[in-house]
Amino acid sequence: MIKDFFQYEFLQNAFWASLLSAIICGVIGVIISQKKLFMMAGGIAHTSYGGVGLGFLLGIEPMITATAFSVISALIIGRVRKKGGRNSDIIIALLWSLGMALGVVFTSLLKGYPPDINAYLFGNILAVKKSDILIMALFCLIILIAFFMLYNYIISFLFDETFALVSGINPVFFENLILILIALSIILLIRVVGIILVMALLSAPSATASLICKNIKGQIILSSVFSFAFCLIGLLISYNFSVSSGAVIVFVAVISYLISLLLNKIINRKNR
Amino acid sequence: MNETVISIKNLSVSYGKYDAIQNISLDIKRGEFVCIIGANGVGKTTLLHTVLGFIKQYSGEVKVLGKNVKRVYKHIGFVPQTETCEKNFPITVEKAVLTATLGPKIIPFKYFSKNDCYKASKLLENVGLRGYEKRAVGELSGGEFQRMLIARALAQNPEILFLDEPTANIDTETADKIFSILSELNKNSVTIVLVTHDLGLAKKYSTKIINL
Repeated sequence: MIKDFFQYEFLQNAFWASLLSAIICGVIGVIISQKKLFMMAGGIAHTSYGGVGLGFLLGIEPMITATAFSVISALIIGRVRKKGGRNSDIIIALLWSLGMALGVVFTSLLKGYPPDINAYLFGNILAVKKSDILIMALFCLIILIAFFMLYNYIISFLFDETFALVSGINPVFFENLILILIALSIILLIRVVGIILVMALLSAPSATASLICKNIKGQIILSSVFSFAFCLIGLLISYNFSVSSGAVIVFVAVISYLISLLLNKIINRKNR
Repeated sequence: MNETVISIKNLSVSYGKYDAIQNISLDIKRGEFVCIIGANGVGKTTLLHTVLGFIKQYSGEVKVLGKNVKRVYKHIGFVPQTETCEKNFPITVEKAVLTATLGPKIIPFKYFSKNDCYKASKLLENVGLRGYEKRAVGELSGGEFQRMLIARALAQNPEILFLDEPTANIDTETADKIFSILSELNKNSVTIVLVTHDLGLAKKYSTKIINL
């Protein structure tokens, strides 16, 4: 495969896509994992499918419309979480389904041959183009600059929202910022693992890292390393056995997390 | 000493049809150690949250240091109920304390200096947590966590320190230790306003008890 790697551009693209995804999984995955925003992130991811469908229908690059859908749904979901009270879970679940339904409706309105929707639903790292890498690199850069520029403010907000308010930090700004960063991360990862599987790649590496490391910087680094390893192992299996790359990456990530969890429990029991 | 730092006039707060607080008026003077006590559901936390500006819909007047509380946030410190914090969040005790020094003005790439860390160490020492700087907040016991929250509030150099149930779910000995720390702060001219269930400690340490 190493020889093929230097020979074929699609494998080099897959490598860069893995690296960019891993960096983002490290940063955003830790936030999602620590704040338990899985439901919200899942809602944002699935709503973006409506954007993919609309892009195909209007003849626009689907990733652009998916980004718009994803960011808007992130802001709506954030508002619902704050104001929705007991109904917030129901509303997020409905938005989740509505986004998927819109995607199906938009694509069914298309005339002629249907587009390759599976690549958006389940990802295909081997089909990532140079143009995709450029978009991914741009999103990655935006997310990293925003995160590290406001690192300590974000940490303060994530640790204790109530206190952040009294210390003068604007919680609405930081909540929206975090949701937008999550939305952009999801878009970045869609080409790798797809809308349906994206949550596994955002949660499994960070959850595995949190079993090993108890400080946030360490978790971010470790989570990125794990994500990169999961993507490369998935890529290797997918290339050699001709199976869906997104599904294999997620399979590797979930199995690795479960093994880590088991080992962690065994070690903790021995230490007692 | 006689300066009124908190003035509440005819304050009423309702949640829908339920009246949480009805027509409360009170003044708190600079240097007082005030405990707000009462049974569950009488509106202790609602009163505190209204004074702190978290509850926006109310009737009556609330002034802190003569102004709307949001304009004097830099002069107050707050120790929330521990439930509001992510107790297992992967940061160190030192970092948790330092977050209080960030302030409302966003400074891009703001990182903490050695001097900031030294100040955090001193504050932790004041609440009996010397040597805890590099520990993860998730490793702290309930009492230690509460003292860390007090150190964090003190990092804001507050004139008035508000605390919401600082001794909830804490054993008697630790609760006494926390009140004793607050009493020391009060002697150093910090006005203390806290909500508690513990009448015994309130009687022992406070200069004024407000029974709702």
